[in-house]
Amino acid sequence: MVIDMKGKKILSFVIITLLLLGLFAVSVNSGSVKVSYTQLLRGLFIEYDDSVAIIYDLRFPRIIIAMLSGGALAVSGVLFQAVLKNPLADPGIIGISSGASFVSAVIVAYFPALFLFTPVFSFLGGMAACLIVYGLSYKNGFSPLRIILVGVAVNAVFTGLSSAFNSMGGQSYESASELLNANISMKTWEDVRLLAVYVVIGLIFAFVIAGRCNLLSLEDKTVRSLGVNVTLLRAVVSVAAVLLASITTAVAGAISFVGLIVPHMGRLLVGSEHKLLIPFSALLGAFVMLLADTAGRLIVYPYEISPAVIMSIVGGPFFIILLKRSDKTYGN
Amino acid sequence: MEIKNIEFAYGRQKVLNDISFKLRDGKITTVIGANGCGKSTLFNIMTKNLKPQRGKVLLNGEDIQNLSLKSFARQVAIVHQYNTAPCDLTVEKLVSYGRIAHGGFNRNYEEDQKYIKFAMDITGVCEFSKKQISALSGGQKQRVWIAVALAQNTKILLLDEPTTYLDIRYQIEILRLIKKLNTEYKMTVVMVLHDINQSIAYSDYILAMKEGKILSEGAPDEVINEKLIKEVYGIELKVENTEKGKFVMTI
Repeated sequence: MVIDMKGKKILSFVIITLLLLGLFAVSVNSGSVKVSYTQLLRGLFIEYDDSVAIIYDLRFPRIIIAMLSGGALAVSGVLFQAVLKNPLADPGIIGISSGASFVSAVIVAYFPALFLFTPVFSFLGGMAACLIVYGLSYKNGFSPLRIILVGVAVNAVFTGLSSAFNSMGGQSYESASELLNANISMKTWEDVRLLAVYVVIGLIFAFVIAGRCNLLSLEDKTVRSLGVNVTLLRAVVSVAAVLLASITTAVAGAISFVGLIVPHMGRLLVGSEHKLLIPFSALLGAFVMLLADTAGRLIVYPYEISPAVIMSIVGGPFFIILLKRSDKTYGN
Repeated sequence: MEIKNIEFAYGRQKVLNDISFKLRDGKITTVIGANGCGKSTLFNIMTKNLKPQRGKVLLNGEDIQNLSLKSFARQVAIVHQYNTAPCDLTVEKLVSYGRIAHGGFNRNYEEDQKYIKFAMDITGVCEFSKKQISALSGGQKQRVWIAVALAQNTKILLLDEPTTYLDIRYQIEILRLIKKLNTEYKMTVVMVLHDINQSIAYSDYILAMKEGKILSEGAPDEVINEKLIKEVYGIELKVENTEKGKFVMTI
């Protein structure tokens, strides 16, 4: 039985990796420009090819951004769920992403010169939202329901502020409005580099603290009795979670539900051990997000639906299902 | 461990008023008292979960407020009343958490394994070490939590109502285990218990509390009598002398 479970976990990792690679191959070749895979490989590695160059400049960045942001959001969701002992926590739902998105939209609009530092401001916005949510929902521990309610309110305020800001600006702040709508269709390699640096840092950080995340599912007093400063641990894990969510928001916009759906599926497949759950969620998150983006590109071709919209449509019902059985999904 | 002039209040409401006592090394001490007498608060102060407004708790002469959680955990193991764990966590893995305080750069894995095995052997959880926590009964779970504490390899063990939520068979099983830890492994034990007869039967020393003060302390046979029961719990109950010691007719 033990071996079976181990086998299931290994199999899950193998399958998700294969699925991700497969989807990547499909996604690269979906759209108005189509090439054969031999042509693609030749164009990429051997000699210049017009069609391949277009794919390389337009499609690759968006695919990579979709994967990086999906992985980052999923891991951020795992971390928030661990910190808050709440299977419903998602950086989008509890307002972290909208806080980050509002601050970075303001910065992009008023200080375009600071573009390269958007992730930093985005992070500050995310931290601010996080502190507000924690501060307002803490009362002898985090009650799962209170976090969600406060989070929804904080999310509404920041989303409202962003919309107001967007309306005030008219057409002039195009990149800001792109952020708010989570539009990743016009991304460049520069965006990829920007996102990749921070996401890789955040993910490595998350892998390092994975073992400690396991402790957060025990009672706080028990963790303290084991010799671990649980408040400090919460703070550290939260910073990692906010970092991953807000960096993603800075580049790809606010996207909800990835951080909710993916960790939940991850727990069913590889269990609650964070040393497995975090890497698995990163892969699965990349897959889900790329799937949403690719589907969004194909469903109403030649128009596009943003992955954030797809995630909301799929994620909403999922959230309700989880809400209905929330007491069964975490702890015992 | 020594408790010196502890005072504690929630807001204006004084919960503990000038509590002092010295823990008997190698003995089982049980704190008894009615609901709201301050025994849980005292337990939380002794376990570094609350800071007293006045007074201090000394461990080998040092104020525990000045000790890090880690060094405290190397000297004192605690089993709290209420515990949760992820459903799919295995017993073995959970018990290994008891070694966290001994981790760091000079971690000794052989020693870790030794104490994990010791803790699982003595609590009898070896046979289901690969099982998931959710598959265990209440009594088995409680033994696992005690095993986690034992893996810390400390001289002192503090338990907050270790028998609550358990039926009588498991209650006795846990109490016998605690007795064994004390007699065979010379552990100093402090526990909070609700059942007065279990307190008498399994302790060397009783600390009876009322309204934030220690009303009486000493060996069970000396301390327990009808007058004390009336004062502590506010109810008249007969106390019988049996060959196994005092017995309070809790009916």
